[in-house]
Amino acid sequence: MTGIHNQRDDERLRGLFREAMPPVADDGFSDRVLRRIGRRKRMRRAVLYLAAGLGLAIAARPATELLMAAGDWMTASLGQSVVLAADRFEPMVVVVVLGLLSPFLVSLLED
Amino acid sequence: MEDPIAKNLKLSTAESGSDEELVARAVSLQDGDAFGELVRRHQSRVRGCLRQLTRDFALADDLAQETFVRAWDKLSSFSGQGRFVSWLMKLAYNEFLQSRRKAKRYSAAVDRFGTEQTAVHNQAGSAGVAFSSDLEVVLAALSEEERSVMVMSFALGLSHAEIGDVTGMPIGTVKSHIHRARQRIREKFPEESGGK
Repeated sequence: MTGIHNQRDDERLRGLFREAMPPVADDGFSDRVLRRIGRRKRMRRAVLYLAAGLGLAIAARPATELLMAAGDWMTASLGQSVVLAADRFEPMVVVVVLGLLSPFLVSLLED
Repeated sequence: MEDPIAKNLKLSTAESGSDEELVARAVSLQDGDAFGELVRRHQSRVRGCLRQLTRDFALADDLAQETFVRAWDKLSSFSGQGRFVSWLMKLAYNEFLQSRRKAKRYSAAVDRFGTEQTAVHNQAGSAGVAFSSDLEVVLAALSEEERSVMVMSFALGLSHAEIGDVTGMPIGTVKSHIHRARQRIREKFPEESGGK
């Protein structure tokens, strides 16, 4: 008996919800969502590039010094001038090399 | 510039796939068209449900937008075990709860400044309320949890298990909310519940 009562209640409630909740027209809603997602994607990419650039700028000098020290050590231990000789290194070269690598690094970060 | 024929082909394949196929395409290929189709398919249910929960069209649409943006961010976490729509409703329900918490914090802060500002806030708040149907009268008689559960069950057709998953309630609690809501409706509105 209660089951029949509940079924009748459920049918009435479903009808009430159907009446009060007609399908909502899109009216550009989906486009607004997709535009917002596109903006977020672009913003995220810009922030990544900015962070990568900043990282490169900060890392350029220590990386150069490290390479110079490595060159010195190799020269001293091998007793001859190696290709990575200290006097060949310029911070700009390191920046360029790291800059060339940055799209790859950014895509790794994005993934 | 994308080739229009290729674009049309991409769109038509997006429109024909199941939700799970579209999710897979959106995640693996970062396919915006596939996700766009998911938004178009489910926007009505998500917005409709949030409108019933918030009783404020503008707020509901803001929350729905936030829900889909969050869905894009978390799409890879959709395991495909349940239906996509119940996963989406879980996000929407969380957005709703967050907005309720914010509103409570806001009104608590306003209360501290005295009744004058509260009156202004209440006036502004009531302007957003958009329902005045029989359903609104019925839902107003229910607690927030009961209302949420009833909307998900009767408006969206989610199963008890799915509602439990969306709201984080055990299935027993979902069932008892529905039972209590039915009883309360029957008591308060005998003409609505068939108890004439």
